[in-house]
This record gives sequence, structure tokens and C-alpha cells, in this order.
Amino acid sequence: MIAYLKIHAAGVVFGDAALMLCGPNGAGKTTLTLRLVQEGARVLSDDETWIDPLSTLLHPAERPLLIKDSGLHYFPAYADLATPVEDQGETSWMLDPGSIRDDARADPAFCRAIINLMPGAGPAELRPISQYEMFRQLLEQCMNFPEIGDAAVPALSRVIRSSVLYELRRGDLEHSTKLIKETLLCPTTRSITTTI
Amino acid sequence: MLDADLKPVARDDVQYSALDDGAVIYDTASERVHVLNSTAAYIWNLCDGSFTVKDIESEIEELARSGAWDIEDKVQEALTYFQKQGLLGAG
Repeated sequence: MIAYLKIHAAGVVFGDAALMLCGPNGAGKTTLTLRLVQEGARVLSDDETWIDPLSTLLHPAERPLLIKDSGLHYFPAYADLATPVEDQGETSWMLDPGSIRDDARADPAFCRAIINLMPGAGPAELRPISQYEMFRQLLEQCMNFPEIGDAAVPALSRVIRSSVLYELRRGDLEHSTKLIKETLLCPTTRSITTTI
Repeated sequence: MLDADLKPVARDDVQYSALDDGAVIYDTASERVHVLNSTAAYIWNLCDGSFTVKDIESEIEELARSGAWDIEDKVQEALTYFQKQGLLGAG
């Protein structure tokens, strides 16, 4: 059985390339994940993405999407597909990606882009960040680093080195989505283009 | 302050992973991770027991010809950090 490196991050796949969205609770991982699904992405996870330390493939976490009550209003069409659950005293909505679209559940894929989500107001802003900076961010979001031990640092380094890295100051959801599409997606193939 | 003639040597059991703009070192004994910027990573790579602190300062000075940094402070800061974190062995 593989001991995965678990990252507190959402993961979506365009074509055969994965985009990881990391950030603390409330950064907007689930909302952006769902919005990107509407743009044709398939879902690995909205909250927890698993890295195989040997292959560095990103794997889906074994749980449905969990949408906060405040996030569901962006997606009225999904309200009938979601099941309410009590989560830390608040109502959240459990949603199986397969109920959105038959092919919305992603197979494991190699990471080609990572975006660190920062809360913000006003216009969204997407800026490249350094590998050094991204490693620090991912390390903060790593959920089981000590369990993986020696294999964790090389695996994270490889994932970072094979990805384009950005920080997104979240603003309006539509503007954030537009920036991601324009910056990362090839208009004809709808897959992530990188210069790696 | 570290002695200028000291030859720092990185511990063998500290794992090193390069980044394009720095490096990550993992202390397998303490299970602590240290993310290094490019200067600190360069200095770490000179901690092989063949360079004195003074050599390292000269090496970094050579690279930073702009003179914008206080080289001695930078090198001392990085090496003192490595030493305090127990990342250096006997030189």
C-alpha cells in the first residue's frame, strides 16, 4: 500500500495535466474547483490531494466535495445534487463530482501547475512565485510530513520543479477563473501549457 | 561569531534537494525541514570541510560584486543558523 504525502490542497485536471490549488481554510479552494469543473476540468479533490512520493503522481482523496453553505449560491444548479451535512456546527453540502458530469472525476495525473490562493478583495491578481516561496507554502499545507519521512522532501521538490507556480490573490470568482484560463490553458487543447 | 579559520562541514545525514532558486534540507535526525534561499543554499554547498569561513565569505563576495550586501554578515548569519540548528558536523 502506498503511503501518500497528503497536501491540504484542491486538485483539478485539464487534459492530462493537474493543477493544484493550495491555501488555508476559507481561501476558496472548493469554489474555484467547482468553477473550473464548469470550464471542463476534472476533479481530484477540493480539499486534500495525495502525492505518490515515488512517481509524484497526484491522486484523488477518497471523499466527495464538501461545499460550504456560503459557496453553494455560486452554483444553484448543484443544489439539487448535493446532500446537506453538519460540519463543525455549520451546514455544508456534500457533492459527488460524478453527479455534475459523467467524466468529472479525474484519474491520477502529474502536477504541471500550482497556485497558492490568498484571500483578497477587489480585482483578482495572478503573479508568478519562486520555487523557494512555493515550497514554504506547500510545507505549511502538508498534513503528514513526518509519516513519509525521507521521501517527502524529494517528492515535493520534484512536484514543484515540474510545475509553473503562481499566487492568486482572490477577488471576484469570474475574474479569478478568467486569469487562470488565460494564463495556464492552451486555448485550442484546453490543457495546461507549461514552459518546463 | 564563527571563527574565520573554521572549516564548516555539513552533516552526512542531512538530505539536500535543489530548487532553481534555493534548496531544501531535511534533517533526518530532528525531522526538521529548512527551506534555503539561493544564497544560503550556495553557502550550504560550500560546507564540505574544504573551505574556511573566510573562504566562503570571499566566494560569496566574488558572486555579489555589486557590494550591496554586507557579505560577512550574510555568511555569518547563514553559517550560524546551520550551526544552531545542529546541521554541521565536526570540521
